[in-house]
Amino acid sequence: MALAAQPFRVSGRALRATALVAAALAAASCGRQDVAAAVGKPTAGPATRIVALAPNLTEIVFALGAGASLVGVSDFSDFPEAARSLPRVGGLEVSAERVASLTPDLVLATAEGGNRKGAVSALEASGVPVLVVPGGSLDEVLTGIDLVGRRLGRTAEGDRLTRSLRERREAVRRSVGSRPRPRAILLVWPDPPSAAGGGTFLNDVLTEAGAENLLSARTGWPVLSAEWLATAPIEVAVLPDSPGNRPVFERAFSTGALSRGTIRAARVVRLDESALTRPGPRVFDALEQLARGLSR
Amino acid sequence: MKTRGPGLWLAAGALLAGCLVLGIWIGGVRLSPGAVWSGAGPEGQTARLVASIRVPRVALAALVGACLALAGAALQALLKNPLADPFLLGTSGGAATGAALASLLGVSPLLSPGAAFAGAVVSSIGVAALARRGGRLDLQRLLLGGLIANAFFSAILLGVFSLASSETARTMLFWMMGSLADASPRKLLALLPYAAIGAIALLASASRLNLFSVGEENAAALGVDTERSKTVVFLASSLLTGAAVAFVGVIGFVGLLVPHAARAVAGNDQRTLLPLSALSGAALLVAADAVSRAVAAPSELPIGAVTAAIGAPVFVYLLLRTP
Repeated sequence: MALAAQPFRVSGRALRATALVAAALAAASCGRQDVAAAVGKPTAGPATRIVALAPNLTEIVFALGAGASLVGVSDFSDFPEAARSLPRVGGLEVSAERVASLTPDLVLATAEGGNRKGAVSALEASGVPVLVVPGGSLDEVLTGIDLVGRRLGRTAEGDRLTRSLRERREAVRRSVGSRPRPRAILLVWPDPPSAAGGGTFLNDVLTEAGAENLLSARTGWPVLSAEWLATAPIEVAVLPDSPGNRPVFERAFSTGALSRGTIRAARVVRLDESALTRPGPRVFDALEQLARGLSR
Repeated sequence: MKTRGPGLWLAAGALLAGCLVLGIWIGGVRLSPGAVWSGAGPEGQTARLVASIRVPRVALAALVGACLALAGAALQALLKNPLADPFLLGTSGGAATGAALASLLGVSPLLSPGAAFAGAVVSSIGVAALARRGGRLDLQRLLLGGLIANAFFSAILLGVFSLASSETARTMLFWMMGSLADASPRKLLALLPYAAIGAIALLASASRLNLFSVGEENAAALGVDTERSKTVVFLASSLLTGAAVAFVGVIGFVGLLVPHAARAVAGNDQRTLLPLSALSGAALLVAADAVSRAVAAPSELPIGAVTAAIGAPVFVYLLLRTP
């Protein structure tokens, strides 16, 4: 570099700092695509080295038959079985360095939750192609699957998958028909009690499965007071079930915020947590199970 | 000195009673006293149900408010520093860290109050040891020790947060912001002995704390065993704060604000100031909790956010008013 060729002495630290600044300026001056190309990553054609930053994204890639192109997944990716042996890149806070070291040609991030900021911006800034996959509603889950399918060069598989999911969703809608709709809440966590409000994919699941979400007027994931839970006209409580959260829910039902009044008397429908709470293909399994559970 | 005598106590008692009535009356669900009293019909049953949830909660709010305000008042008198506060001295940080570590290690949440209290005691002993020089408790070093303890504990807390699962982190976050949501008669009874021991120790030290205000050397010359008094007040305040944090999480501003307000009304005689602070602290927290229940129903605001939102402007006002 020109600086290193200067005849006068430059301290090592100053030199390194200058080189870093120069490199950063150079990187900023080229487009993202150029940087990716410069470090030897293909910028066109289907992705073959994929890192999925959330478990639902891992499931989508597997469901499209592209599990073999995954080179890294988030800590919580435990489905399907084959995902368990893949290299981990972190949980809530993914490690951008770890992701970059896997030299992915596509990183899948979720639009829900905290994936968008931090490590993801760092990856984007360093030229790694990032696809942010939506999942805020059941429609968006389907859109997301389409999007990933196209990026993976598996448009046909994506079409087939979303078509079958749409048909199953339609079948649930038909089966629910004009059945009376029980008033329900879908608790995502018991302490503090938090439930699915309007504008979430779980609000779609709850209403399309044939229930009336008592919290549809609240957006997001409202935290509920013990008084409301004891007095609101709750007929059905839908809970995500996993070995990890079962004792926490049980405690809340025996001595905590869920131990009194209408919530205590409500009928409880338990659904597999990993299917229900991840906006991926299996959320349609949860939709069918919930519709069956509500019809009983 | 300012207002004293029966009028002051009447006013403070009326304030607390008013807040208690308000606290039981308002909330996410409006409670009709008649329906609670009769308990007849579905409406009466619902009213009784809500009352069974709300009354223990209002009582817990009152007890915690009294603990925090009393601890703050005593520390301010001891350190002769109006900014002294259990939170400033690292006690609540230690308690929060104890509970957070317990939940990270998978200790049952039922035991986490114990862990929080242990953290508060460890922090108090650590800060006191740091402040002890040649058998004396150096007040400046005490404040510095609290500062260091807080920095250290917040580092641990941040580490615990980033390692916890998202759900556990959520539970911890809400506890950190302070919550009376899972109040129960059992919790109230569990807190009572700590509160009683701490309160009796502090109220019994009131006249000695008065002598501190004329300077430590003068207090010693007047026959006060200053080191012993300092230790008693420091430990009793830690006990009150640690117990409060353990049961309801971190609620700021009560310990700082209430003694200030009480001093503005009643002057600086600790024999008046300490009990008055306890009464006003109880009233403030009951009112703040009612607000936290009512404004966002069916959700609740974190009580710590409400006390800070009320506390900060009042504190600014007091600061501007003070010559």
